[in-house]
Amino acid sequence: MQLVRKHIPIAVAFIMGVAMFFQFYIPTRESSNFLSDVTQWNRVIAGFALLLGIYSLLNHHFHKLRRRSPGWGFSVVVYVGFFAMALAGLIWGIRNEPPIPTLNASGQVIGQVEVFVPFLWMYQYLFVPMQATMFSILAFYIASAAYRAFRARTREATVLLLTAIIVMLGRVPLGAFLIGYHPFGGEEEFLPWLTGWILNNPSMAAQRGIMIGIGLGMISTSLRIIFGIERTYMGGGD
Amino acid sequence: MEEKQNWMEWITTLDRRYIFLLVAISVIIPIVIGVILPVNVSPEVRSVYNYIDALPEGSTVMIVLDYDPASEAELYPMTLALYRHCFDRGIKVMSFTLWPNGAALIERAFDTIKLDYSESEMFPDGIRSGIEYVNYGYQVGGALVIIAAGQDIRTAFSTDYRGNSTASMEILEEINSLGDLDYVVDLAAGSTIDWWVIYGVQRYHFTLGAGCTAVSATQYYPYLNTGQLNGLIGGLKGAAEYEQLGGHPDRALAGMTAQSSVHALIVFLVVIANVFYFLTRKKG
Amino acid sequence: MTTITTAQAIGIIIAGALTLMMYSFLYKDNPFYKFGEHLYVGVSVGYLVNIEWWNVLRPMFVIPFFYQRDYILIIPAILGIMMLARFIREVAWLSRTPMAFVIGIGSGLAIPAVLNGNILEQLFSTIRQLWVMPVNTASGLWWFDTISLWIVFLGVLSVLFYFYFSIEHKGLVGKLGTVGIWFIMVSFGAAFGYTVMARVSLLIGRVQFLIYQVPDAFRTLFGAGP
Repeated sequence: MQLVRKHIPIAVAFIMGVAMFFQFYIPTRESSNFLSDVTQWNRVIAGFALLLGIYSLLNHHFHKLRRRSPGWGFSVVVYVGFFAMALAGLIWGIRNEPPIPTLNASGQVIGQVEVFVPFLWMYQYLFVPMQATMFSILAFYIASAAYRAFRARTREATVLLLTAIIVMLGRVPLGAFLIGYHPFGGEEEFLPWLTGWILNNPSMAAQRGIMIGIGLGMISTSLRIIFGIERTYMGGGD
Repeated sequence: MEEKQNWMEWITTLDRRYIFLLVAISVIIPIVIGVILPVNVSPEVRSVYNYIDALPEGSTVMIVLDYDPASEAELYPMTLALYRHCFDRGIKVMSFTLWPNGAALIERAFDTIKLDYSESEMFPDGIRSGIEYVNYGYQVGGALVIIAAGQDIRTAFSTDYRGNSTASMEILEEINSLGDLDYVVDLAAGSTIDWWVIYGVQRYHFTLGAGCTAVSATQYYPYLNTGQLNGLIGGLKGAAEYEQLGGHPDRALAGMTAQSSVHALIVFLVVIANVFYFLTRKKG
Repeated sequence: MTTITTAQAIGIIIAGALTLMMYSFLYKDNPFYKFGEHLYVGVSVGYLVNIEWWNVLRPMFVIPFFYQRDYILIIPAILGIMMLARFIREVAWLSRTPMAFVIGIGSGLAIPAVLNGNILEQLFSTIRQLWVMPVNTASGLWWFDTISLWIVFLGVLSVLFYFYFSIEHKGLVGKLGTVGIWFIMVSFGAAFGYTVMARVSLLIGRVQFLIYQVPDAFRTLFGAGP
């Protein structure tokens, strides 16, 4: 049983990892076809794996309903929303149809009627506004957090604070009006120019250093997975 | 003295609901007044605009909408501005998304744009699915989609969002893979731009531009510097710059005044809070 | 004012009401917010089911397998179904092989991609040019551009040294690491400024919807029309 539960998965990870690594450096048609086939298979697997997310969300609320946990009434709302949206799309489709022309008695087009697609209607007027609103609430919290916690306690924090202020003012039209000086006789006013210089030079340098560090970490983790040292992706047990 | 100190402490520990109210007022008033201020166009945005502007009529551009409604406020205006620019220049557009929640956004965007071009000079028959534009919908697989499209675009996108087969679609007549496209622009709320650079540009050597939310904009400047990205449209400001360049002022430009006022408020609040912090620290 | 249909007007009013219900959380948590939050969860899962069927399973498996007779796809389909065993404790081990397949492929693809795109290209760009000729100038002054290039070089080097923990940070290494912190603070400050901008943009989008579109919808339904 150890063979099937532990050794075969490790061997599969090794074989596929090594194969895909070498594929990049082999410029033949067979190598390219192999890449296409593996990619296609992987996408089919990922397609089935998406069902995991759907199951996970519904399962959590199903258990709340069953146990009559506090707030279980809202779990009913989850299921109502789920069935309404799922059935709307599965029964009536998800694509917009062209308007249906209205004809008079002699067959001439005198107008048109928009086709009502329940799935798209629910997407536009339920899903989009709710998700957009949930994330827009963060604007209030970031303002409140900046006011209550953002203090220049150290020199480093002061540099962070000053840079944030420069960028916040430089990236809006207001920044162009605050200081009218044009550095080196260029087109841009001082704050927008300074913001651009910060983003393209010191900030970019730090981001590049971080990117290189993360890249090295990713390569290290990938090698550990391929050689079977890193096995957390397999889940618990052996 | 003690009263003054208590007053200063009260200011620095103000109930956050007052801050929320101030933010709400500073957003609502500029939008109600409706003043539109011109914006400075940054070189990063101008690069994307100039590249599309220089493409000949009949070119094909892939605009990838890698976002969902959570980032719609920043990236949807960018999407419409890019679509309008492409159709103004007679350029064909292909779109898809690597985010499941974004699939219907593409459909909505094309439906909005179609109305403006129903009888345009460039497209006397309007813009038609499969001919002047195509929506491939959501494509599962993340970075693997980029590799699959780089290998063979018809295998990667076997049907469009409406279920029509792409095998003999007119828009794909001269396109077999990503390398045949004239330009690719990834509008991203997450880290898909990294995938497009390392799996797309490095392997299939096409020109890539990008748009992103302001949250992630700073991390893509290294790619701009190396030339792996030819341009970057960052946040609502970037969208406003693009609308201004394209001559189609819309939501993004309209929102910049409110953006200015909220930024000014936050800078004011942070400065005030720090002034009182230092004053109370001195006294304490 | 754009023309909107009755269905659109009803939708906009419902969307406006849901928006305000979600914003009520800013005052305090309440049943209206909870209703909106749970409705959102349900609708988003229902949406995913449709995308899963119409955009994923149907074009990638059902049509090729049942209609185009591409029977080899049964193998990834079986591997995909085995992945679902992850939730059943007794047979969770079945999901290990497909996970290994997917993760192994991802790891193998990532190594050359990251090496070329994120490491070598970035390093080459840092050291490719450290001097600007007086005629080739972006900012208007060649000496300023040259200083900028050296700032980038110093920044990348010092940040890399800051994150290198295998040797003690003292002497030259310590000083470089300290310089790296300054560059990181500048970068995080810029990122914070941009994050504020992003969050505020999302709020502006919703307020524009409430101020521009909702009154239009009311006018369409109850007023003289557009």
